[in-house]
Amino acid sequence: MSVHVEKELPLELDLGNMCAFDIAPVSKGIKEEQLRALARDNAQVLINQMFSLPTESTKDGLLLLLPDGTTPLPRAKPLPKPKPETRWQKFARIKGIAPKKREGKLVYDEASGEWVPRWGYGGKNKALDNQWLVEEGEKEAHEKIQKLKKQGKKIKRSRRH
Amino acid sequence: MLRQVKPKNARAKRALEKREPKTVEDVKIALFLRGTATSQISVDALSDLYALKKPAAVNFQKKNAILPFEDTTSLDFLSEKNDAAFAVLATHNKKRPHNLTWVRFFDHKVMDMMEMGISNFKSIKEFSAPLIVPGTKPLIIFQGSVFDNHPVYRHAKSLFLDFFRGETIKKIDSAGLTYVVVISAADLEDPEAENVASFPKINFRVYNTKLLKTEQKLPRVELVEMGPRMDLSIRRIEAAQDDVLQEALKKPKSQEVKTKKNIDVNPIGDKVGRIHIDKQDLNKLQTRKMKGLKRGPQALEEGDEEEEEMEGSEDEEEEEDEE
Repeated sequence: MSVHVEKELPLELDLGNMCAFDIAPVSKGIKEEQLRALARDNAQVLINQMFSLPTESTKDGLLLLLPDGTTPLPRAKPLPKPKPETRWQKFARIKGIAPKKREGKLVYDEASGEWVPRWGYGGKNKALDNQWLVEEGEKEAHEKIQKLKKQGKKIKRSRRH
Repeated sequence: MLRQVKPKNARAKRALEKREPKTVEDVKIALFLRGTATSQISVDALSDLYALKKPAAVNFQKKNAILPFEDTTSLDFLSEKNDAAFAVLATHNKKRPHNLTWVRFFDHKVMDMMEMGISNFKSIKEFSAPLIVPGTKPLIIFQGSVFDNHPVYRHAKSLFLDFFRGETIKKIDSAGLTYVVVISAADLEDPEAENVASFPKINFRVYNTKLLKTEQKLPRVELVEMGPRMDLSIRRIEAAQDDVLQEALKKPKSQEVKTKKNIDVNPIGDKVGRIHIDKQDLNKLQTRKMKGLKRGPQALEEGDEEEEEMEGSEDEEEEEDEE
């Protein structure tokens, strides 16, 4: 079973739209079987090209990464007009205020070399509660550090206004 | 034009935002309509096309008195109401039997139309091939040199490609290449001919793909016809107006790739940049000052006087412009 197809005129391909254009002339009284054979050859070439595209492996299967389409096709609606900036957007742009990036729940723990949650189930903040051996004064030191952190954040917030 | 609806709640607002123009568009929705009189063949062809176009399609069962080549207002209205970019109208009369009119819209107004007569029709039901999953993107093949060099067939190619291509996606499952739409047409005997009735028919075929394993990485393709099968003869055409087509073909600016200017990589592999500076006025060049060489022998006296003046002001830090 061969996957190789000899074409007199190479097919023009638009892989982004998954289509192929065979510019070889088609004979006038072409029979159904001949038409199907020609279609099979062209489909073989097209599928060969599709399978040669860069791929991505996922648990659902092999995904082919399609390029952008090359055939110019008309849109259904005109291009969207750029919307005028809102008052907040303008203010934020001038002041240089960027949306706050959320830290996320996981934080890197050097001791175990893993990403552990900051709070909640198995959270790092509870580690000290479950420690069976605690040095004298460590609890107070730990609590003091948390208190200072809170104060620092409060000062930071108040500075913003 | 429909009256502008002002959204009264968040859900209505979201529905309205869904219909707004987007940079990268959604699938084009197609309307399947019936004219005043229809035939079994035309209706079967319509429902088969609807099966291929689902779910981006709306199938109307009732008959509508629409004459697209005379009045497009009802088509515009339906397009706006259903947010459709395509319409296929099935009609049948003595003069144009088993007729399908393909209409494409831009901004909910008719842009271009093409009327085709069906012959040699075989419905999906008559084939025993497995049905496709609705919403699958087909492979499309155009066979024939006419699709490249004749304006009418180029128009047909644009319509078919736009109609069948489905969603614009970046990734596709390799097992999802399940069917092919093959559109072929023979060459015109007389390329200059104007009479559309003499033009060769467009052979419309749809096949299921069977990918068989080979020793190589690539599969062997076998095609099994699944329908519908029709031979379409071209009837009336209304081409798009140039300005409308130009507007529709505009590409959003963000999609242009911007190359970084003035940065090159030289053969050694170093990244080299070029800086362009303004032209330098050589008369105003700041060179080393040799006071003794300044004036010629004629101006010696004035030179002495000036030198005395200069000596006096030498304590000042500012440098004087001698010219």
